[in-house]
Amino acid sequence: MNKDFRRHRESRKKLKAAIRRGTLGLMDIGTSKIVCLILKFAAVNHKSSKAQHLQETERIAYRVVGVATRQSRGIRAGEVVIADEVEKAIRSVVQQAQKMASTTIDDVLICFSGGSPLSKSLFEELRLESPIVQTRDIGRLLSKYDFESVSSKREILHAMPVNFTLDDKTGFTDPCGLAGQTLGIDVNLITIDQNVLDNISQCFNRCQLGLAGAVFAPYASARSSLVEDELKLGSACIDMGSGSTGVSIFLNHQMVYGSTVKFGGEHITSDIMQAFQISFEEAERIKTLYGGVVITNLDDSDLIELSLGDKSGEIQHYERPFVSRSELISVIRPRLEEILEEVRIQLAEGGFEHLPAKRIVFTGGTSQLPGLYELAVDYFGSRVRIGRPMRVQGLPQALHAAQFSAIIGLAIEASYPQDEAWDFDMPFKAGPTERFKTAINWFKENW
Amino acid sequence: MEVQFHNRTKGYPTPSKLRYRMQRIWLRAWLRKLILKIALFVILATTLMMCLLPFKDELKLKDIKHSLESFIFTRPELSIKGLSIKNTNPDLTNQIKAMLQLSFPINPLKIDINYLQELINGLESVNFSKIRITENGVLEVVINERIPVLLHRKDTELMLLDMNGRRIGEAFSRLERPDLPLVVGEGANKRVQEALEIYKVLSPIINRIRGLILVGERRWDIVLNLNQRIKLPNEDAKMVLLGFLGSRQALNILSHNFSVIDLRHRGRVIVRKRLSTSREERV
Repeated sequence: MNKDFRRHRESRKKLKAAIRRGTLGLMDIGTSKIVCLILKFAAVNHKSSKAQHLQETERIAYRVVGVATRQSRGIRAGEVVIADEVEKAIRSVVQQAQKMASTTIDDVLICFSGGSPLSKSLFEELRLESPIVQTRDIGRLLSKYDFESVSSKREILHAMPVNFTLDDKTGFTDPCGLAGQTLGIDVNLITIDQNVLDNISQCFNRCQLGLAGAVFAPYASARSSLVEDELKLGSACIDMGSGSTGVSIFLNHQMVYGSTVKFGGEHITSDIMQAFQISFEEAERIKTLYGGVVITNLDDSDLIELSLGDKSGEIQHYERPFVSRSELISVIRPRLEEILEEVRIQLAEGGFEHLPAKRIVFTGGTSQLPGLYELAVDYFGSRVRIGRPMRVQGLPQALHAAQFSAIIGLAIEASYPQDEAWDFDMPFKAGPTERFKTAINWFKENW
Repeated sequence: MEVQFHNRTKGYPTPSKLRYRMQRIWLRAWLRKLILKIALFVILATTLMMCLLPFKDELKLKDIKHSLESFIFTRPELSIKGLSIKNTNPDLTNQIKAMLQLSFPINPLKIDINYLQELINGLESVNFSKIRITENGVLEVVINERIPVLLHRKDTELMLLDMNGRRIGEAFSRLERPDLPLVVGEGANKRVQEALEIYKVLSPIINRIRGLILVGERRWDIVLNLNQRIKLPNEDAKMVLLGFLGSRQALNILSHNFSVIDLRHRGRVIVRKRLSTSREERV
């Protein structure tokens, strides 16, 4: 079996154990900020976890008990570049959240968008032995996939069975119990660069935390931002983060394509910084307070005062004390257009034109830039909206903003995990323990 | 374009590794409770000590220990209320009671049952004993008593012997135990069985028997009243006596005035007659 699969199974076990114990930490490791949530789960009904259906109807009740958010350090484009700094950031944010929750967390589910993810669709078919599809048929079919060669020199982050075909019909979400001769599965494989996950997991280990799984950030934000119809009829979620912009396309409640664009809000700030020769903090400040996309006549006369000191009290000597808003917008707009252009390319690659609904939802911190909607309409047509994450029990109102959509999506994912390829038992030529396990499973299924 | 790494600013307060770990330890509820309980106990104990420190001369530790012991050990549920001695005569009972010198109620932890048993077994008239504490809190001593079967006169002592010839006690006079037969002589205590068998054979004329004398630690003389003797042989004394008493002449011989009947020679009975009876009768 694939070594990635083995690792993912380990983390799945950890996740289940953490949910059973009642507390789970969630963490969004972004380029500009790092967020930690602590979830408290209600007592799980153990019987329900036995069923191995794809769409498990029972969700686990949970509540957010601890929240902390902090400026992130040592992260570039979602990847760890300075392990020590990242460790410190994790430590501080975890400590704060634990203090609020007054419990400790042992396992953390994270989402991140680094490692230049690639999405690949795989399809295989299998002639069924029995006339009715059973769970183990799916496992048998999945074992035919050649994940190893597809993900050469890369790591598998997600391997989601997104669509089932039975004979010549398609669009099944759960074929178990249906009659048919040949079963086929579309698997959406998301791979990332090697060692990216290892680096992050090392940082967590040094904080005495275990990694209970990693989730592709655009996928997580889509789960919190897209509404039922959008998930069903096909739409894209654009998570405009600070270091990168994530693109995920959903159809039939499944992510069929996921990718990232290596531009984000940080690049806009960096442009402003260079254009006006000001500090990064100052650029960030005027971007968030006065930034926009569409220039109006009024903006020429709207002068923005640059503050002469930064946090540390140092006096900065800028070339000029004022910047007009139209100048600011003229710096922001080209970069944003570039991002949207890249997003369009990614959407085209993901086959967005073939979706029935073609809705695009913008979320993430940069999506709060005023005027993005108008620009997006120019690019993608009228089926665009700026999304906000849905409500989660116990989360403060202030954190229901667009920049927290990924972590909120992670909470939803934790309570209602998506089935991945490694959740199915695959037949393998294996030692006695595995054979014993399969024997037990057979007993479980038949009695 | 290279994105500048802007985050490395001063003033990013982070908890140190130690602090982070301490917090994680502290947040484990059971541990926190345990530590709090220990701290509470320590504080209480120290305050108590501080309060008691001025009185430390008055309050000796031994006194406290003693009072504590008496408080615990005098609990009625734990104490032994009485002594019951079974399977004995009142004499022995009193003797044991006097020897044990226990005052009730008493704490079972304070008495050493093995020692008591040794004491009791040390008594001459006790074969063996069992000691236990019953549910009702009574120390029960069950005694297997040695029964005296013979009186043994040696020099001036008059001793009680049991079946095995072991000394049980002393008697002041023969009249004290008229039911027991008398043997006399050095080494008679080693031949109790034999003496008893002879006595059994002598049962038809038991009224006339005064006692048995072991002569030279090898053979018996039967002493009858009127200072008459029957001398028995070394071996087979019982059979010989039985043969003599069973014979036709025996009663005849015994009713005569004789001083000695000698049975020592096999197949012959030698009777030594006394010359004048009148003198004897005067005695």
